[in-house]
Amino acid sequence: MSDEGRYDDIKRKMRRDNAIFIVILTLSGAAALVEYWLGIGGPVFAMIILFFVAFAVVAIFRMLMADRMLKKIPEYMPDERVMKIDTYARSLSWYVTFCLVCLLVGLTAFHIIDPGAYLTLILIFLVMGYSWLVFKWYYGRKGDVQ
Amino acid sequence: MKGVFLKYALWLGSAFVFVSLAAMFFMDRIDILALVAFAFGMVIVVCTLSRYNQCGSPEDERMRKIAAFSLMNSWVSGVTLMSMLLVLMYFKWGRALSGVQVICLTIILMLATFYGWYLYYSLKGDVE
Repeated sequence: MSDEGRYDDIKRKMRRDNAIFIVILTLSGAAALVEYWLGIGGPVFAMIILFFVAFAVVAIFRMLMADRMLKKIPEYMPDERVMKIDTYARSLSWYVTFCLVCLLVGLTAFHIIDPGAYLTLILIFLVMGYSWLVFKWYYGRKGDVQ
Repeated sequence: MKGVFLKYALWLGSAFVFVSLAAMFFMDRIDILALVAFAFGMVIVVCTLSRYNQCGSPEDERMRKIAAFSLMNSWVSGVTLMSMLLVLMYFKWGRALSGVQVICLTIILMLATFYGWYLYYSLKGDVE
């Protein structure tokens, strides 16, 4: 396969992985929250959650692998701007999540809320995923991180 | 000089945060003393990190890049470890954790992975 063909193939896979990641994140979050609030437990929901979480991890690894594969074709290196946007989106997402967890400490300390372990973890997981996508979309539309 | 000061401020803040979080984790409640120490440490850590990242204007572009890449890798490690913890908790494998313990563990995890990557890139010299 030519370099151009390989590049298109990798780009297509990356787009597909992005779509899979968003769908899985939404479905796993929704399933987990429904399970938490309605208390519909049982092995079926457990399998659904395991399936979604496992796929989320696989999607992240696949995205990283696709990025590494792109770097192997020198003519089609992703441009500096795109890489910078992704790096800043993830670092700002880290920052947002960190602030959220600190806020949770304060709210829990003053007994304003008392989230269980399960809900806390799901909340953090969802904020990490969505804030990354939002920042990526925002900087992508803006064109640069400056 | 400013960079050296920021570095020591970050270590001091982190020490406060880690000690207070460890206390909260093992006591399984948020003590007022631990909360004050945590808040003090957090203010220092957040201010220093924002300076390192992009909100301030660090003089060294290389260090800014290292900080951004460390945060990014810490994010990836965090998502992976969080999802693993979620599965472990759902199937009740290992010790059952409370909400406070999960919060403490998350902060410790995020800071520890960030510092780990930061040290790795700093010793390496660059992110490439």
